Amino acid sequence: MTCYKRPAAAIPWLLLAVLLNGAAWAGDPVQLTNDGAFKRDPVFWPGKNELIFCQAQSATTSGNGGLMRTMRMTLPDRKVEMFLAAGEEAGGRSDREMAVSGDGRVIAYASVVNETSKMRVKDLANNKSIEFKRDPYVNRPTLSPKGDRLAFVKRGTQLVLLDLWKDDLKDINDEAKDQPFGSPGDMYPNYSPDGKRIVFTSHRDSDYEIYVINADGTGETRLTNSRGMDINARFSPDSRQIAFTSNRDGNYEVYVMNADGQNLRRVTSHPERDDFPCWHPDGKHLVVVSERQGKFDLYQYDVPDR
Amino acid sequence: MSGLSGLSGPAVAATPRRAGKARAVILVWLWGGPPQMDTFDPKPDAPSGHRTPFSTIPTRTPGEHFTELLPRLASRSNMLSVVRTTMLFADHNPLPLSGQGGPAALKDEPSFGAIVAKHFGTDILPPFISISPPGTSSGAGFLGGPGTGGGRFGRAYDPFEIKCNALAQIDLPKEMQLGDGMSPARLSDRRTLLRDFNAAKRVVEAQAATDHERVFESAYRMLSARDAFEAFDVSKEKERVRESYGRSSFGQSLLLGRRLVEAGVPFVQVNWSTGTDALFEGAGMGWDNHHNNFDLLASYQCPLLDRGLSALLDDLQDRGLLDSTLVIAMGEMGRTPGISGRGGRDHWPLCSTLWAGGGVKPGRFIGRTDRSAGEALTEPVTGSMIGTTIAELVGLDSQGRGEMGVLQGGRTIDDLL
Repeated sequence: MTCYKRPAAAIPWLLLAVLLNGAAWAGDPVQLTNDGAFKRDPVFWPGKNELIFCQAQSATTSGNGGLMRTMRMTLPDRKVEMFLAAGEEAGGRSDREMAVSGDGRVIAYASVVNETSKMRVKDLANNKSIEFKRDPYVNRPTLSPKGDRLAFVKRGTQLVLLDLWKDDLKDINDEAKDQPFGSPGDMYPNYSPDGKRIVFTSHRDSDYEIYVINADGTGETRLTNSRGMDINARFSPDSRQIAFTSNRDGNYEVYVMNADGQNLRRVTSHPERDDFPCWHPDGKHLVVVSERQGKFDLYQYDVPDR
Repeated sequence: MSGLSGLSGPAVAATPRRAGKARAVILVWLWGGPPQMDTFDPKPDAPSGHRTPFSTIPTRTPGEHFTELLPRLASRSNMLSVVRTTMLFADHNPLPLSGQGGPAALKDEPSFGAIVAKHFGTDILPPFISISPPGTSSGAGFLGGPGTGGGRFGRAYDPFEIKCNALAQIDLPKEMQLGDGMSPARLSDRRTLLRDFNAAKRVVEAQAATDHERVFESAYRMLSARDAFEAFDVSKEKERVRESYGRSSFGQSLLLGRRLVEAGVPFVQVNWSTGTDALFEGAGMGWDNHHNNFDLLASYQCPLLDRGLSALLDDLQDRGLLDSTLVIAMGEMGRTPGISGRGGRDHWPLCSTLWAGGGVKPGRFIGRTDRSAGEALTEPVTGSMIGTTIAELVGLDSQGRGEMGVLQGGRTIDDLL
């Protein structure tokens, strides 16, 4: 009330509040793309200043409009090129949800080829690959640091661990090789860079909350407890923080918390959508898909101090 | 040039029997079908295995909720009404577009768009325009299937199909496209016009006579009318307006639909999709969420729908068009209460439909469903009732419907009127 009665006296306090607030939000974001096409799933290539992300192919007046392509952006020059070749598949191919092992040797991603879903894992160093077929439906891969283990979502709701590159592994349909963990309703897994834990989202208890579990499937812990969705969690490079998307304020925003769920900090604050956070290798910045003026672009944000 | 002899009058002129409250209809076709319990009819107390994982949020209508995925529409419930007991045909089928409800349906039944087109007619622009994203699958049942067009009215009442991408680049039928360097102004040169007509004539000569006439007349009327042609140019809109709809093919198609209605088109059908048709198998194809329902809704479908449809309602209201423009958002069907082993929901007849403008009373939530949103506890609303309600709102009364031979004996959704 004082502000309205004595506006002049309130000005210094307002300025101070603005300054403090500005410090809390840690500066304006840096816009990395400006084409506005729908994007998702950004991830930095380990050890390189390169960003991999999925982007809707420019849908023109003919042909296969609307397919997703995996792109690579080099920083700081922001040069963008196709990462995975478009391929010759009839009906086109959409790729999404790229995961990279910590040593950059193995990649895993989900594809739709001619309206049939697949998941692919490639050992880039040894030119080996595994293609996981359509049944059961699998998606959201995440790789262990050495690229020897794969966690993913099976049938849209069950988390599964799998040892890769075993001689007797034919494909992901071999359920005898599965190591299910968690409970029905689990989604969005992400390996910690130190390989010790997997963070994921589940609606097992109520709405979507974030949980963490040891990589051997033990020690499950719930990290968030808020109304609304907490999704798309990603470990920081040092495995000590977790970035995630939440609509707890009624809109999709990006937050960061310590790996034990403490010290919540808000990264974005905008009436449009902010989603798909990914950590810069320096651990001080996040790249986020932010919708601004109806366009989807990649922005780099400072991570607020702990 | 013999084909020009019959071009002096409007191709599909018809004088409305009486004026209705709605002078135009925008049908937002969410093909597949939105899961009613995850969107407009949440059931937080449903049993495990059925219950939506999404939280509920209050709408502006006291006591009524949507899920958290639709905050903008929830805040606009004073502008729209929801029919929660719509009962359609639980399979991929465009029959709801013509008010039919089952396998015994007539394949030559005209669609709602054709009925409204025949009722109003237009002088220049086609009276029934269908907008789809580029690259729409050939399997899309709303493109050319039974019950999607003129049916027994003839092909003159088929939808005029155009494509619109996320950049609002419009793909007109080839017979409607201007050649390189051409513009509507240049077409005032009769020699140029003659040359283009001859080119268009060659395109259509191989087609049936009625089709020829329809295409030819539409081309003539549109290409010779600059103002009409500019209705397709979304770049004429202010950036603020274009942004508000979202830069998806769905959002920009809704904006194009509003422009076409403003230019006098009586029926526009905007078909869902955006630039990620093949994002998920069996799920990216509209709203057919057999797989991965919840991720798809949260990451993709609902944010685009919430933004685009809210912007359409705001825009129509700001321009004073909402009272005279009926907006309906509906799918082919609803989704199963039970969550499948693929993390999806399969086909189900019960669904929710959204209604706004054009004489519809806003802020109403019509019908009650059971604890899983699987069964109607009050009288279901059928496809025939949807069609009859549309007809009444545009002024096509029972006598007019009888003369057309459509929707006879149909009842209106009285709670909407």
